[in-house]
Amino acid sequence: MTSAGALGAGTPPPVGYDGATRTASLDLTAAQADGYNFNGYAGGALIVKVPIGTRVQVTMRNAAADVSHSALVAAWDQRMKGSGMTPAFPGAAPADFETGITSHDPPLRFSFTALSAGTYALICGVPGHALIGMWDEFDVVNGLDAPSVTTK
Amino acid sequence: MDGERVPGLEAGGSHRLTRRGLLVRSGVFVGAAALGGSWAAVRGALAQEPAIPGVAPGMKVISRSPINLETPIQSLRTWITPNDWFFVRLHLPGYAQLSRETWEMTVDGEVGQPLRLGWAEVQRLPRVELTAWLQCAGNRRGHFQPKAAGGQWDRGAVGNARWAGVRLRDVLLSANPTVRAHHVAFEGSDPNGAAPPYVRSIPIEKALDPNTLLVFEMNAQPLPVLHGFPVRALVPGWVGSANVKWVRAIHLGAQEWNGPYMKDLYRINPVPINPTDKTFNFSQDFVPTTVFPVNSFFTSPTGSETMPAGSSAFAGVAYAGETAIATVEVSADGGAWRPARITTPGSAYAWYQWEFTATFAPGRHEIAVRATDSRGRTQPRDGFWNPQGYLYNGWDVLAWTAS
Repeated sequence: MTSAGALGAGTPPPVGYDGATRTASLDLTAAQADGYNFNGYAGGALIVKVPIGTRVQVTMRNAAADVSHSALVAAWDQRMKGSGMTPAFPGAAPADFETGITSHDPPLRFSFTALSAGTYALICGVPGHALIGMWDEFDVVNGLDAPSVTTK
Repeated sequence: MDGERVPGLEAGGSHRLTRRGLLVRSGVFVGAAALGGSWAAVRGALAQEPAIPGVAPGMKVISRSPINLETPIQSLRTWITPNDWFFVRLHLPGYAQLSRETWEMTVDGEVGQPLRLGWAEVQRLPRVELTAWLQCAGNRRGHFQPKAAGGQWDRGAVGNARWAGVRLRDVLLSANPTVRAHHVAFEGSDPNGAAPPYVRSIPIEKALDPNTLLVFEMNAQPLPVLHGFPVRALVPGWVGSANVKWVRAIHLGAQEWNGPYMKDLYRINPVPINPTDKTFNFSQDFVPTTVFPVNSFFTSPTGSETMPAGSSAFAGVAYAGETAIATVEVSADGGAWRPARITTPGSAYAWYQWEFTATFAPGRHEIAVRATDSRGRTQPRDGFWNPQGYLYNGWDVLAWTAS
């Protein structure tokens, strides 16, 4: 027996940053070859950090044809919820995050301003998916010069 | 046909759905492989896509982790679905590998006599056999428009099997339930890591039904590992999620189980809602999915075959939760509904097989099937839309070109 744990065997998502406008772009790909994940990372194995006040533009594609996935940034404890997630900031989720998309659909896009410093969860909003590990870490940090992506 | 060993079937396929007023099938075959073993082994094995022992290589992979495998439509043409072609729906990444020697099941909560049972104790209870279909709550989810959340299953998350086990009521009554025991929760040994364990509850009335079983055989074979070896719940007519695999505990309580697989998932809006409405709360506004509505679909042809003009034969299955099927009807090219012929009668729990023959001129045609259960409930044109996409039972519609 094994469990739903951290999964890290992918290519970290690219993060673009325009310092002049303090705008970051985050490109996510949901996948499930080795467990539901973002860019090959799940269970907190991917850590995205952005400076406080950053405007974050998220684009999420789903590589899976037969299972819908989505993405949102929510309070840290929501990574263990089965449903009923709520975005941490205004706009930090697409409108239909509980339905999600498959590879047949256009990407999900949403943007928000990272208003408050803290540790948040980047999760799939399709019911049950975060619960089995489809979550990573999203940190809003004081004093950070530019966004970063690390893995563990 | 009960208990007969079913010969192997041809390699399967799958199909896509398109929207043409109704959902219509056309054929796009997809071959896929899937695997098993310990989870560590499965991870490596799945990456290389070798065959899983006990799973037919033609099963369609909905997802590899959790393992979700759909039966190709061609493999639903026998009354009994062979074990290696039976759909697999796991909730967590990984599965339990247990032995009869060490397996134990506890019974606790609202009981006067808590129990701890092993394999030998279960075998001493009266043996019961039942032929019953088992279906994932999300079967045909891919037919919903607009799209519903989750795995986009076509029609292959269902199968009909001969089960053997013991009555759940025999176990429960041995534990002397209290008057506050209104719900019975099954806890599975699904490997859950940091997540809550997989637990679903059913009302005590269904738990005490003599057809609700704890089963250890499937089609005269020991329950396969991916189907819950050594013991799983069989709650006939109800959503697959209630049929908990690898049962390790039974909890009796006054309320339905308070866990995510009861409060967040497998819940449905009790009244129609606008799909654009996002204000609902699954836990508070929705109710648990329970018994399935009447359903039927084509198993032959698949929609991919070239069919000559003239006399054409169609076949399929029909079933309804806890209810017999009264009629199966077919409508060709929008014409009147005409009765199909029941070829293999089922029961309130086993599915029915049916056939229909009609003559078609060259050209494009469309044919629909609907069933009516013995309580007079008929399949609707479309399934009842719900955000998580459960219990789809709209007409099945097949389109093809007769040459």
